[in-house]
Amino acid sequence: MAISKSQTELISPRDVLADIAKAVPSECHDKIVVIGSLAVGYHYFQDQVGMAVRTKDADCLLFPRAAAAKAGTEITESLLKNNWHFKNDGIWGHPGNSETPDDKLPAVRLLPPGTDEWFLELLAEPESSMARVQRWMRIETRYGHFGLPSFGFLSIANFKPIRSDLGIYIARPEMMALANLLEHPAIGPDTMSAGVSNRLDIKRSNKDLGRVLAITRLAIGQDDDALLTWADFWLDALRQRFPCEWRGLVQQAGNGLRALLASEQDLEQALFTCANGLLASRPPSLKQLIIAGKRLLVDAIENLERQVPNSD
Amino acid sequence: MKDEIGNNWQQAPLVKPLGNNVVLEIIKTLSSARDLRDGLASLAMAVAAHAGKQGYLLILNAKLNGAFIQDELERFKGVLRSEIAKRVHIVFAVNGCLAPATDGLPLADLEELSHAIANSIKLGTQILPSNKKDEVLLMLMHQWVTGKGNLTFKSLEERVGCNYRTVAHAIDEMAHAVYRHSDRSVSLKYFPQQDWGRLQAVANRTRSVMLYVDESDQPRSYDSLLQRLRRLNLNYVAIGGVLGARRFDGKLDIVGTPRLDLCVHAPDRCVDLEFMHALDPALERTQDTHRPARVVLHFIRRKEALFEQAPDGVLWADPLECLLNLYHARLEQQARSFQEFLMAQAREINGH
Repeated sequence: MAISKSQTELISPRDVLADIAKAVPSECHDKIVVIGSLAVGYHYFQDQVGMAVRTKDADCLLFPRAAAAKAGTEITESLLKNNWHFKNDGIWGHPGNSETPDDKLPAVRLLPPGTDEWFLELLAEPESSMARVQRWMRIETRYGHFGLPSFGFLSIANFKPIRSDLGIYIARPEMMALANLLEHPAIGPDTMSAGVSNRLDIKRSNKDLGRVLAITRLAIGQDDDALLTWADFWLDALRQRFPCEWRGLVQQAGNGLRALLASEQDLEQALFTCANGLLASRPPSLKQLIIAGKRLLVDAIENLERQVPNSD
Repeated sequence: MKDEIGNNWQQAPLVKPLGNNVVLEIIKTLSSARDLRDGLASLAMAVAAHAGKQGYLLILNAKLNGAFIQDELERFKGVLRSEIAKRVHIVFAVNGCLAPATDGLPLADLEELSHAIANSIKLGTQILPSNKKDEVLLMLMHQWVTGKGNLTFKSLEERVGCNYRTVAHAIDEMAHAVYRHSDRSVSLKYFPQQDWGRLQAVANRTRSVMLYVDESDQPRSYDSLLQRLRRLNLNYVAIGGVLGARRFDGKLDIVGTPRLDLCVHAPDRCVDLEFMHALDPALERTQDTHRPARVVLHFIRRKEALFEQAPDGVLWADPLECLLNLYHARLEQQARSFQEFLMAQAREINGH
């Protein structure tokens, strides 16, 4: 389904996160970490009046995995009880039941009362470091059955999250950047099924790697040398989350970004997603986006690679 | 090995990985088939050793016929494994830019190659040789300003990198301001205002300078750039300009730092400028003197750089170089003030 303009209006990250923190039962606050563009926006825009992001989904990752099903059930039931409602996603707009196969379960996608500007989506930490493909964790609520998706490098996104003053955790921007870098070691052909701001040709890789560049620009805007601290954090996260594979992941972390910087066509898509997402308030030029990528390579990725020389 | 203007230059390692996607071999001047075959052979070996990387033989100045070069390339590829052959390319530089026949090459590779050309050609052929007589003057002035005493002709020859005749001519031209001592050494009697004025008047033509502007709209602070420079630990780059002058004269009347002046020691007029990319990829060289430069490189072409190393390892340019940097930045008032400071200090040290 194409996203209409009205569904992607600029929203204030702090306002949305405050709504989430208020709606989620307080006993679940320490089991939920907000990831995605809202988390980035909250991290960089919270003190800036008028700075907003253009997004539609508030991705909330439940952790640890062992507690995800219980927390997911409690949060879903609590929100629905308080007049949150299902997002109308066609066949996915209704809960499943005990007969529904795991991979056919609808995700928990709930709209807050009185608005359709954004929705909350629940995800679960992956089962293990080897679990990269999308899997579904069933949760049974009094409203029906749902699935919590887990995939790829979500376990990186919730590495050492920051506790916000709202009580819930916010993912570190540099960890979300790393998760996206690892997710796309090359520019894949898959496009965004729902499109991006009325464009249906945007590749998922370009959208996600564009987000990496957006985070980079926002980080630099806050501190010239912010990127210099990333490599150590990344290395720490990779060692802890992927004890068997971290060396290989270090070497592939920059491949997708390098491929993006080498392709004007893909860069244009990345720029489009930035200008219609995290950088909507101050869209950069293509040249400025490329410079952000080069700075990320020099300050963080090459720094990371130097710490773990390729054994080839 | 000599380049086309006959100056000795030190050859970099024959083939080196450049950036992340490219293996590069540079031939400055290609004048024989043997050089071409040698270049292709070493490139092919490097390509074989770097799986997935494209290999480029970059020819800066081709004196051989283009068709002949292409023919040699095809014959050479014929004896290579196809997996290697398809990654071996020849590209040319024309007037300091990549020759247009680069269709189909990845954008990132083209950027790397342009970068390599900027470093190789611009430094190899565009840094003017310095005026040795001016260097003799500056060396004597440096001795006077810092109170370091006399210099023999031999010492001047070695420090400047010139012969006896050049030193003798330079001393003759400023004879009015020079003491000749019995041990064949010389020193200044006073600040040679007239000679300094002449040197200043022609500085824009005789000095070698590169201007860099920030293209990011998020310029890095000078503190950040200096920290990065410190971490790079380069033994041929020193801080000059306002920051350097302030080190000598803490009362220099200027608010903030209008730009970062770095002095690069390039006695062979061939220097590695990769550090600029490490300093900040947002810095791009410009020829436009009307754009406010973020960083300015001043090339020191005499043999002795006169840099001074601080306890923290940072190199600082000598006071006269800093003074010249201030004039170049058109900070006239501050430059005159700093000049007065140096002269007063020198008179106090030297007693004249």
